Amino acid sequence: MTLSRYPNRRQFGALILAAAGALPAGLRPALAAGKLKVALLTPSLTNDGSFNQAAADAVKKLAADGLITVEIREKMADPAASEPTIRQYASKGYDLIIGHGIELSEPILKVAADFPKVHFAASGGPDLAGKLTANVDGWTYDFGQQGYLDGFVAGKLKGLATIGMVGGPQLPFIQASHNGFRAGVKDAGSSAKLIETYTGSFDDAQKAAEATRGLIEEGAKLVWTSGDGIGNGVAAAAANAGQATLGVTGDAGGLAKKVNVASVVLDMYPTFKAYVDDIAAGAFGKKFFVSGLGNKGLVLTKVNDVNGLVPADLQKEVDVLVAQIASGAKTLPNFFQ
Amino acid sequence: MVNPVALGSSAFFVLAAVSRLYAAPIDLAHWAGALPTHFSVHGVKTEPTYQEAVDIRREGDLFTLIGGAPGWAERSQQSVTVSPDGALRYALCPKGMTCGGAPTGFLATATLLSALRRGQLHGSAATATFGGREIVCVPGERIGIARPLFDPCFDVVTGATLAQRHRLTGQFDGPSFDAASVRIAYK
Repeated sequence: MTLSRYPNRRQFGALILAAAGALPAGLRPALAAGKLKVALLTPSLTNDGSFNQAAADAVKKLAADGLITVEIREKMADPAASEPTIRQYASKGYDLIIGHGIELSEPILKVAADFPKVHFAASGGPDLAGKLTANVDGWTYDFGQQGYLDGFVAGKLKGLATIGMVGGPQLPFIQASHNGFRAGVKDAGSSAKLIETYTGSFDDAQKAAEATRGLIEEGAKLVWTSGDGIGNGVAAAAANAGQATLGVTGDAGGLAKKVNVASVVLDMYPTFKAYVDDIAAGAFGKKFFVSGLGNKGLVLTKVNDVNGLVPADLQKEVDVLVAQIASGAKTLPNFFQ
Repeated sequence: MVNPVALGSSAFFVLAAVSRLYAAPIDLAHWAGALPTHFSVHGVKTEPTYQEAVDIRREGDLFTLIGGAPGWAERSQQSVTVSPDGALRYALCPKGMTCGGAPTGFLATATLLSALRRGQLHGSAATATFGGREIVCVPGERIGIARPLFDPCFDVVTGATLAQRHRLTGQFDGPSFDAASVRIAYK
C-alpha cells in the first residue's frame, strides 16, 4: 500500500492497525478497538448500594466516558466459579480484569501468572502489596482516613459538647479508624468531650443500641459509629432518643435518613481510572493503590442536616481539607500506629 | 364447556405456585430438635467499604464464629456452648470482644438451641427463601432476644443462621450473609 503525505481515512486506519501490530500483545486489542476491554467480577450483586455497587458504578462511568467497554459478572465469590471465568476473559483478549473483593484475590493472582500480557487488578489488605506482579495491580483503602473525615465533620457540627463513639471489637483496623476520628475532631477545632464504647462484637446491633443509649444518657448529642455491621443499632437508639448519628452506612431500616448526618464511603472511579491510564501509558503493574481522602477514593455522602447541627459551610470546609491533603499541604499520619 | 381435566390441572399448578410463595409454617420445636449436629458455613458479608469473610460452625453443642474484619485482616473467633439444660456459656472470647448474654447475629443458632432445651421454643413460623435456600425467620422474642431489631433467619436444613430480617423494613439486613456467597456443609 502506498501512502500519500496526507493519508485518507482508510489509510489512516491501516496505519493505526499496523502500529498496533508492533505493540505488545496485551495492548493490541485496546488500541485496535479504541477502548480497553474490561471485565469486572464482583462477589455479589451490584445493586447492593454498597461495596459491589461502588465498583460497578465506577466501570459504568468509565464506559460512559468512552474509555472502556465493560462486562460485569456478579456472584463470583466462589473460586470454583470465578477462576474459570477469569481465565475465560483472559483468553478472549480482555485488556483488564478486575476482581473486586477479597474472595477474588487468589483466583486473580493465580490466573494472572498464566497470562502475562493481560492486566489484572486484585483487592485485599496490606499483605497484597507483596504479592503483586508485573501484570497485577492491587487495591485497598485507608481505614484511618475514613475515621478522620468523619471526625472532621463531627468537629465542625454546631453546639456539640459531647460526642459518642461506638465501635465493634477492638481490632487494629477499627482502632485505626477511631484514632483517625479523634484526630479529625481535633483538627476541626472542636473541644468536644469524646466518650467511647466498644461493643466487643462486630455484628451485634442489639449491643450497639444499648451502647448508644448509654452514650446519649451521658450527654452525647451525636454518636459516631465505625462499624458498618452495628450501624443499625446505633441508628435505632439515636432515633428513639431524638439524637443524631454519623457514620451509619446503608438504610438502617429507613432510619438513616432521619438521624444520620453523613458517612464516608468508597468511590472506586479514581482507582479504576488510574488502571486505565496506566495501561495506556504502559505503566501498569505491581502498583498498590490505597483509596484515601487525597485521591478521592474515600468521599463524604450528601450531608443531612439533622437537628440543625450542620453549619452552612460544612461542605466547603470538607472540600478545602481534601484539597489540602491532595496537594500535600496537609499530611495525615498512619493511624494504625 | 370447560374441560374438567384441564381445569384440575390448572388448579394444581396454581396451588403449587402459591404453595411455593407461601410455604406452610413449620413447628419450631419439632424442627429445631431434628437439626443436624454438625455444620459449617462460609460466606461473606458485604459492607459499604469492604467485605467480611465469615465462617460459622456447629460441632455438637459448640458454636463458633470467625469473622469481624475484612478477609485480609486479623479476624476474631468467638465460641459458645449450650449445655443439655440450655445454659449458654462462652468458651472463647477473644481480646477486644465482650461476650455475654444470648448471642444474636451469626451465633443465633446457639440461642435457638438454648430456647429449645429450656423448653421455651414454641409455636410455628413460615419459611422463606434466601439465595435459593429455604430459611425460617423466628421472632427474636421467641428465643429470648429482648427488644430485637432483627429476627434471625435459619437455614431450614441445617439450622445455621444465614440472615437477619429487619423489623422495620422486612429486608435482610445487619448480620446477614450475601446470599450468593453462602457455602454450607453438614452431617
